[in-house]
Amino acid sequence: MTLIPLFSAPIYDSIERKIKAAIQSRIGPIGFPRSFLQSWFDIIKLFNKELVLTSYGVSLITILELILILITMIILQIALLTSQLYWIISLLITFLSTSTAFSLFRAILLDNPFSSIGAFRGFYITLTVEGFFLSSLIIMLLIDVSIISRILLFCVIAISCYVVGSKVPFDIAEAEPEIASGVYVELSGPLLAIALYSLQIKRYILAQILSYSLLKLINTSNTSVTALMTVLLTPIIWMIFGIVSAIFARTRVDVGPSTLLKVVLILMLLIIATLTVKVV
Amino acid sequence: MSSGIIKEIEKKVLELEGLIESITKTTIFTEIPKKNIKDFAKWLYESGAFLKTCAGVDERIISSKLALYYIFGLDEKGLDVVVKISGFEREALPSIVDVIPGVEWCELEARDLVGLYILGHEDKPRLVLPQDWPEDAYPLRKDVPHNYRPQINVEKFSEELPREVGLPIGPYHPILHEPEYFELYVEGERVVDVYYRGFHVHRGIEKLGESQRFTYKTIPFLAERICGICGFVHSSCYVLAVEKAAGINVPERAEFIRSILLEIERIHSHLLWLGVVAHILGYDAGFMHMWRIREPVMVLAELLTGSRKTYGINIIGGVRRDIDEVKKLKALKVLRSVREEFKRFIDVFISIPEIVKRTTGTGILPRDIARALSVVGPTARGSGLKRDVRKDYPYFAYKYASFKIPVYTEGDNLARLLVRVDEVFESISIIEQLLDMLPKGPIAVESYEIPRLKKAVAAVEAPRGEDVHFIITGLDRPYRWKVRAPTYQNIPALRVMLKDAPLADAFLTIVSIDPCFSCTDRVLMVCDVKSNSKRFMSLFEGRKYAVK
Amino acid sequence: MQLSRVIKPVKLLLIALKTGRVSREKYPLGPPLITDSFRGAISIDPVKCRGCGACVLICPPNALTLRFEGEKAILEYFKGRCIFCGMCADVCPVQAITVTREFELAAVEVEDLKEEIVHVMSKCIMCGRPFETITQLKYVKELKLITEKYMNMCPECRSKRVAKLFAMKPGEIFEIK
Repeated sequence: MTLIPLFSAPIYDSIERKIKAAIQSRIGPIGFPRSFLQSWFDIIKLFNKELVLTSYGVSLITILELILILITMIILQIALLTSQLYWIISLLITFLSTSTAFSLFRAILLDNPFSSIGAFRGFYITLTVEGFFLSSLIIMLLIDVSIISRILLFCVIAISCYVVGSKVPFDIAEAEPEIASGVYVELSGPLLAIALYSLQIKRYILAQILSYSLLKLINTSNTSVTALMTVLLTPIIWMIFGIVSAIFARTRVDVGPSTLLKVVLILMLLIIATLTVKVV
Repeated sequence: MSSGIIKEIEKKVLELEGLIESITKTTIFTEIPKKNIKDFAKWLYESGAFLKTCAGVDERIISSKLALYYIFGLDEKGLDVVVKISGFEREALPSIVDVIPGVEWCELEARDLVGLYILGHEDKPRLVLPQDWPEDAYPLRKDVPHNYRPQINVEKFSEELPREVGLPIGPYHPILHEPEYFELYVEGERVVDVYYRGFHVHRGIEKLGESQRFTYKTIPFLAERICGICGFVHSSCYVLAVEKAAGINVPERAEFIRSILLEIERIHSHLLWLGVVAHILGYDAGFMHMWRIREPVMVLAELLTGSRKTYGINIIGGVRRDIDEVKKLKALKVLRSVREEFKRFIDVFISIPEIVKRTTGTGILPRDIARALSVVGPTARGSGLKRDVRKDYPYFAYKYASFKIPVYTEGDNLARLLVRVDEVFESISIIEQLLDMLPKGPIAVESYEIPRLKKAVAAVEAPRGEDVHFIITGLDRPYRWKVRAPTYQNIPALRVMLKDAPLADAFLTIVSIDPCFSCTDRVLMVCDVKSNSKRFMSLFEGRKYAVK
Repeated sequence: MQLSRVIKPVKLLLIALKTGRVSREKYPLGPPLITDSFRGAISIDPVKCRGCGACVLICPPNALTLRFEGEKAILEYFKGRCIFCGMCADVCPVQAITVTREFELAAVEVEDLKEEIVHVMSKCIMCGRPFETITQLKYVKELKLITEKYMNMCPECRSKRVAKLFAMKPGEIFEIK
């Protein structure tokens, strides 16, 4: 079960593309088996392209990032099966934050000032929600709180999962019309395939975390049911994310994070209020 | 058009020791001694005239002088005033750039291409010609053959290129679909100054039209290829200019058909633009749906003319394809459904929070600057200037249709967007009205004659603004054919619009004037003002663009 | 009211649902989506064509060219340059040119984009120089009542002949060599 995301993440991505195409009145990937495997085909094709190395640092970081994300993914699967173990959840949080830290590392390592503009924009967005995301995840998973707090926490996690997954309107890091591009211009061939694959796995992890917190919200205690439910809920959440990203436009570097910060801060204040009320 | 203003102009011209060459229904041709041109231009400008363009002409065969024609338009009176100044080959001519700032580009162009010596522009770099073009070759002079290719010393040229390059985006940058070169000087994420270099693909169409290769009959097809989106505007403007010069009376039915097609072109161009804007703002669904709505309009154009774009039906004295009853009914049906769909979708489009947020208050062009630069089209109308050739200088069948000119006073990107949205509805209504009134009769004149050395100015409202063609007729082909595309007048305004705006909005602002450069290569440089140099930025200089 | 504004972007889904798919799934299969009045490549009827060159003069991009090779006059149509304006069809005096609806013109070789119509030239009976296509001369004969001899002379020889006729003495006989 731990290996499901490895295969299904690109498949979900293909289905999302198909749904987006339907929203845009297009066909999208053609053919019955093909349309569900299109992202796999893309990755395989990219792997067969020639590799142009711009700097060793970036390629190393890209590979390391994939490894880190894979570890996070495996830990998440274990955590889902054995949610009683607190240490494994702490480990999950640690690895989640480390993989984000790695994307900062990559932004600093870039030689090309243009892509570093984009990379920093992306990092800027991530940084806005990352702290709140991790802290609310900790509270949600480890502490038993009231239902109102849990709903608020779920909101924060949902917003953060969407933002960290870097979808429209928060894809300013890689968007071409924003004049500066992100990390992807530095990557080519197999490296780009690795970067795309790790992004898809990351999105899977985020969707899975969100579905797990949804189950936490309803407060299901049976572990095996939880594990099964997350597997079923993840694609649904992924597709909802896809639909949301299709009906919005891209935000601006200064407007996006500030709006986001306002929303998340209000939610966090409310959470703190509900938590203190309970303590009192 | 009132005779009062003509009297006034006559009086002023005589007062400034000039002479009136001729007065036609819509244009006054005058010649002013060069020492008085500034006074006259100032007087015209203050009485409400907009600068349309100016054209340098090599008249050495006729009068052994080089001439410069300033073309002004009195929008309120619907009257064009063409002012000629002339001088011998190395004689200095005064510039009127300090009176009307918008004249700078066309004066520089006359300097580059015709070799006029205009005072006040000595230090300015070349506008149209590349740096490696030889010093004494002026392509628009009559003694230079149209297929002249100078010897270019590439090695020397590459040495002259600035060694220090800033932060180049491109040359293949997917955000720009035509060749242009903007240098954005930024401080953090804020643009503080802009440098523009265009004319990378100056194709010499004017020269080609004046050459042996083309005749009056074939130039409409050449003119149609000036622009890929509003080509019919150019061919219409060309034939209108020739018809004005030769005094050809075009059958009414042909005028109606031309107007209908011009409006179809406007609809498709605006829908295309809205789609592109949606794409720039990351709203790809908007892009897809806008272009989906546009598709029936393209098919309709194909039905009426035989081609989706470059309709190719304009000939001097009329058109080549008729609109019969079947086509008319089909067109009305298509337009009805396009209006429905567009109405439904645009409602969603302008409710997207990011689109509203990113277009409101960005790329502001104040009204007075818009006036000084004589900007045209939706750019002017978004800044509160009520300029529209269709109303001011009624041509073809527009006088029979009733329509509004949408004007917004905010001057920001949203205003320009809304102007275009409103214009789509207006255009649909114009076509419906004209189709209903379509008169009977022939669609082209049987024969015509074009006398030599007649002048005419024609203006047609393109989707991007006023398109001006100036013609001096010659034997079998124009002696001089000057084309001023609308974007030519709008680009200088970009500098004002981009200043002090966030870098992220820069591209949206550039697109908001609906620029129509004309194809291939482009580079965009980001230069730091603080370090005061264009050197390649060191590792950490680049950083500060992202995190302040 | 505020809520309806927030909800509005979602209306896109309704529009998409109502529209359905508009792009074509299998393009080359199925009929092309062009209308009846579409102007595509031209086709020249070699039987009707007389090689007069009216189309060559009007063609804006010089896609139609007429060249002479020995006894042949070759009218060449190069689709690569054609702008599909159809002016040639308008000016053709014998309606030899028709505008087709063909638009899928891609070819592997440049030569495949060229079409040639070869006309045999008639030789001048005086100097032996080929000067006009035979079909064109036939047409001229139908139009005007002129002698075969005069018709088969090239313009230069005709003027020379006139000059000679003037210089002839009474009783002399003009002979064609």
